[in-house]
Amino acid sequence: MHPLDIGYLNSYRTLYSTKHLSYQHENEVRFFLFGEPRPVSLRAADLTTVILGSQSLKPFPEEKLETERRKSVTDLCKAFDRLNAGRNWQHRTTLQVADWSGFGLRVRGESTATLLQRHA
Amino acid sequence: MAESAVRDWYSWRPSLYKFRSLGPKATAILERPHLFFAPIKVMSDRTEVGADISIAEDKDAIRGHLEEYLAVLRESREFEHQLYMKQMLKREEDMLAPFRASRRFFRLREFDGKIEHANGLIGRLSGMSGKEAKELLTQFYESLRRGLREAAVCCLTKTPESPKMWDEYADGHRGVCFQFEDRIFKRDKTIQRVDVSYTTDG
Repeated sequence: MHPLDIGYLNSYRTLYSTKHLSYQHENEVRFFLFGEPRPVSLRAADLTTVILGSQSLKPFPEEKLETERRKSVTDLCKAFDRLNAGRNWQHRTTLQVADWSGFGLRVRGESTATLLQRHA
Repeated sequence: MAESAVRDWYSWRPSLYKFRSLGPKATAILERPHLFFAPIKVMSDRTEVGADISIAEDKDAIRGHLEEYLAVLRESREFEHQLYMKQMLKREEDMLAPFRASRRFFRLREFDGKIEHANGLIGRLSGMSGKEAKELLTQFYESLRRGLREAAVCCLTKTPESPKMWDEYADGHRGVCFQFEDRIFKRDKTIQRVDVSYTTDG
């Protein structure tokens, strides 16, 4: 990388490192990439956990939305299984479901088989 | 038993989180793990990414902005100087080393020019009113932005425990949150990490 480009990125650091206090809940980390917008690949091991939202398994009353939700959950679970296929259990990505029923966020581990059987 | 112990340990490691609605984009992250870097210029909320900085008419705060920029320049110059010296030391074994080093020398001069300019701006502040100082800093940032080349940004959060984040970015708790290792992109020198700080004038 050209050292002047590091300088440019440092300028970004100066320009984009503060935000108003009202956004504090975001606790944000920004990554700046020099060059064209694009997806950047990661290792499967970098993705440690997938947390499904607490309402993601709750059916919609409207049929169309419910069909879409079921499809999304099914596709996600299948992709999750493919991601973990052949990986040693210590290095697998885990699947959890968020639960806000107590004080703050709790998560419970789930298997895709259970999710597909009960909710999708 | 062992599996849950390892998972508990994992959950205590520093991590970064990305919220998404359920759908093809979320599934694609599992199909082929990746994060998308979006263009800064087309982001829907310009203020959200800090592109419009509100600057108070406070000379000390403005001096702080400029001194921070100066510190970044000095840090970059120091890095460049180290590379320059490293190449110059190779001149006995590599005939072209001084030629290569000369290019770094010109970059050093460029940094010196910028440092001199920033010092000049800081010097001019003392004779200015708060309003004039604000105008000076606004123009300075504008000139910096014009000089910046295209960059893209990817925003993550350090915690999954904010209900507001689930509301805003994960389709009102109907979406999903991906947990990534804190050290992602650590080895990629083309990507720079910025931990956002929060202020009343950010």
